[in-house]
Amino acid sequence: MPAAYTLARWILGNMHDADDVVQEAYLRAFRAFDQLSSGNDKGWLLRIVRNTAYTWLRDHRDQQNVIPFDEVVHGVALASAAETFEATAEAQANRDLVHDGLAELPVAFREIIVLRDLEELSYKEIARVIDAPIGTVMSRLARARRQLREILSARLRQQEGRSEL
Amino acid sequence: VNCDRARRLLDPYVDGELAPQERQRVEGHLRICASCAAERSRLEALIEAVKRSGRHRPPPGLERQVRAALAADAVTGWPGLPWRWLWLVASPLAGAALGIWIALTFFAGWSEQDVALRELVGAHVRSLMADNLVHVASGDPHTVKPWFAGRLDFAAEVEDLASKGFDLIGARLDYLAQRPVAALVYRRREHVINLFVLPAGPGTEQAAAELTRHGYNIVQWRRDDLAFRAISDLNMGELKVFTRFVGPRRPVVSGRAARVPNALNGVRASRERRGAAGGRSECRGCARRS
Repeated sequence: MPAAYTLARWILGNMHDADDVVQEAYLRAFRAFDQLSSGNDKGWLLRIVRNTAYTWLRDHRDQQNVIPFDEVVHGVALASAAETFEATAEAQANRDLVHDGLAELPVAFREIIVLRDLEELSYKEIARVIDAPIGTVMSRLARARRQLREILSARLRQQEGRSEL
Repeated sequence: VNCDRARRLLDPYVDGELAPQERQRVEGHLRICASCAAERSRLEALIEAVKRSGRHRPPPGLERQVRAALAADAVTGWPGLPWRWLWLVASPLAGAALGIWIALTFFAGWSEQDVALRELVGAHVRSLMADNLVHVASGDPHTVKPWFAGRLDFAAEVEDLASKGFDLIGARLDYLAQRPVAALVYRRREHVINLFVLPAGPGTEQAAAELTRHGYNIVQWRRDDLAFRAISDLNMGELKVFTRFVGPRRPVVSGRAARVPNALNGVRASRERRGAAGGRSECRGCARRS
């Protein structure tokens, strides 16, 4: 349940919707129980949660969050090693910073980080959840983490700049 | 492994997704390359940070709410049924319906024949009950055949087969395929043979066949515009021999009909060899009696 909720929250970015989506996903999972063939309960449930969340976004919200994801558009250049090192070091001590940074990521990047780092699914399981080849999982995850570091270091720079003023 | 390649493999390396060989190569590089090793630490730090701050705890009431919804869903079931689930139920039903339709289309002829066979067995069994076997009791074809005149709108040949081991007992009027038919009754040892003769019509279009229903052997065939149905508890071999003698022309029973004379010779030969007990091995009823 926490795993489903976390994923729903991060895809939807909204607490109230996440409640509804989790409930609907559980109902769907419950009704489709016969379809459960493999033993991978968690990946299977998360796949349903994800699909339910995207359907929900499409039905209940404007399109802002679900514009077709484009790897090229969202790919970013690597910042200097020194910058990101400070950023990540700081991030460990600053939960809000990481939280906001995650929220700032495109949803496709956000969900893959959630699936890997929070839900701790293997690449293979993630591939099944998001319906993509393993190679895509690998490259998208690397890009997502890189962009998160970018965002964190940018936010840190902002904060430092403000405190200097 | 150079730095470029190591950097590209760093994410799967940290995630434990590399094959052992590649994993060792990256490890080897990390031991000698401080820059890449530092990059690895930063990556691990980032993941650790996400782990610490990314999790959302579901609100306390949510689990209870979902359980209640699941319970309600299990009770009502139908409302809000998702299409996928409906399809899951509907597709086997549709498949079954299609199967039944195909079966009905293909075997309509069969089932018609089945009804006819049931009717035939019924008529045979009824004839054996309560003194209803013959309406005219005679072993003389010239008595039996005229008896039908005025009772039927066709003339059935009646053969005297006593010399062949089939005694004519008599005949009666019966009813098959929604019409009156001739039932000629023969006996071989203790076995009664009912030979039904009726005009071939839409209900009697089946091909020649040898069948067994409810333990009764049945041989049915057509000759010209008449349909013949012989039924008895006599063994099939001797019943087929009987059908050879019925009517002036050779009935076409099936592809095996061509071998009937041989079968006849075989039966005769065995009867000669074994005397009165001939055919015993083929009939349990006779074996019990003797």
